[in-house]
Amino acid sequence: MQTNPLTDDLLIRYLLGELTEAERDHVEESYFADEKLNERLTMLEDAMLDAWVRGRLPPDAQDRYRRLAEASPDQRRRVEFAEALRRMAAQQVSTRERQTWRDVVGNFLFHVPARQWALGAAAVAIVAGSLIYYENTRRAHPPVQQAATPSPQRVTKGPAPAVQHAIPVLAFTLSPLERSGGEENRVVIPAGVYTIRLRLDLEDCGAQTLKATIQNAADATVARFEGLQPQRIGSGACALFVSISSDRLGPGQYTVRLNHVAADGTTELVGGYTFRIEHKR
Amino acid sequence: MSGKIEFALSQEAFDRFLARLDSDRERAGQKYETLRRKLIMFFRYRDCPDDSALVDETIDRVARKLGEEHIEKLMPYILAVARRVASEAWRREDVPRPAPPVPSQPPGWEQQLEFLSVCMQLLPARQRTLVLDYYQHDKSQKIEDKRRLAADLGIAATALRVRVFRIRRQLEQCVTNKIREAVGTGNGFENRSLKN
Repeated sequence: MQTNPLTDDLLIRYLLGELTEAERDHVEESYFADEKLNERLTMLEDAMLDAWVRGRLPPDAQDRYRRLAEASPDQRRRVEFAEALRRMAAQQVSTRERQTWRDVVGNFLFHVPARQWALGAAAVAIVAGSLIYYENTRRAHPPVQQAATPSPQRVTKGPAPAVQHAIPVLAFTLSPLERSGGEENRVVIPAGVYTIRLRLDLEDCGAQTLKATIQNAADATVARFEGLQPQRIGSGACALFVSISSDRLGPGQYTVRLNHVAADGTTELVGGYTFRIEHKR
Repeated sequence: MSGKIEFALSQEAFDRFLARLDSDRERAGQKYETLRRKLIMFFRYRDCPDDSALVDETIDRVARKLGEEHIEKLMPYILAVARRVASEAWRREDVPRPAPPVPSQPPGWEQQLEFLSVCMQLLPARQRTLVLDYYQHDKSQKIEDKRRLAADLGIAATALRVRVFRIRRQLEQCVTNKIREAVGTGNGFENRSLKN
């Protein structure tokens, strides 16, 4: 029997269920026997899942992947992983945008050969001038944050956190005081700077706008988040998400006060959370 | 009629199966996980319902057969058994199942995001940066970005794709293990239903 070469196109058609029985049997026999091909096929499957969670597949394929995810817990888990990875990567975008001009100058300075220094120095002056203008403009018109979480850099008071390249995220879940049973929420931060992402569990979602304030043990406000909307998570549960740079949270006890903001601007305390920050050195 | 097959594999049969995959127990475990992934892909893309149960059923049948006769070429034999299991599953599933409601977004990603944050910290910083850089841009920017990344690393774009894929597999495995820990179950290799 003559068989088609195992091109990416053929493998994608396999994933989309578009092959004849003979072609499908050939692909199956091949990836069972060949680890490299199995790896290639899994990479293509990852790419399809990534495209699906971004809604980038053609309608038929989008529908097929939806059905596959519904039919198999394992596939559903992989879809959720693809979604989690997409969101985590998206959280890095705004960080990267802040970093970009430094990269440009850094790369330029370190990669210019010695004999081009004269030309390089002139170019740096031009580039630096343009970047000062760009940076000022960018501050006046900050880019839209792609992450699902609110951006503490835009809504909090006080100095902006230090610029980091690809700041890693540490996520913690806090239970409301009345549900914590006296147990203390401990947030242990390893050495380094991280984005601390706090999930504040809520009793119900309700169509409401909330404001969260993080205060230290001396009741000084460390961060304030406004215009927060509860999100549904899993089986009917609800939560709010706030993010803050770890370098703004020294060791000690903190309280998160959650207020409902009425249409007339008045606020009402609807919940509280406490946590203790510990830095691991 | 829809139905599930009950099966249980003796420790002896399972050990025999692992030994046939590799004489080294650790390597056998890795090969077992790879085989499971292949079988899951096989059943998934044959549109079989409940793929992980069918994977177990296939492995159980093969493991039992190994105790009865010598099987010359294991992989083709496993594939043949899997095809038989798939065809039987389709015959059992002759009543169409109602489609479950379509979620507005994939459920459970929140939990995975939390575990992913932890697993990300376990990676060396260079790998962490690489994988986040690789996935952070949308399709329109991706080709150029990936060329830049590959150039920065001094490798070809294909090699970059493989490198990122392997890091992703590590992360996915780490997240899966954390989910299993959270729900109190082990993986298929350690906690299969065994009958002594």
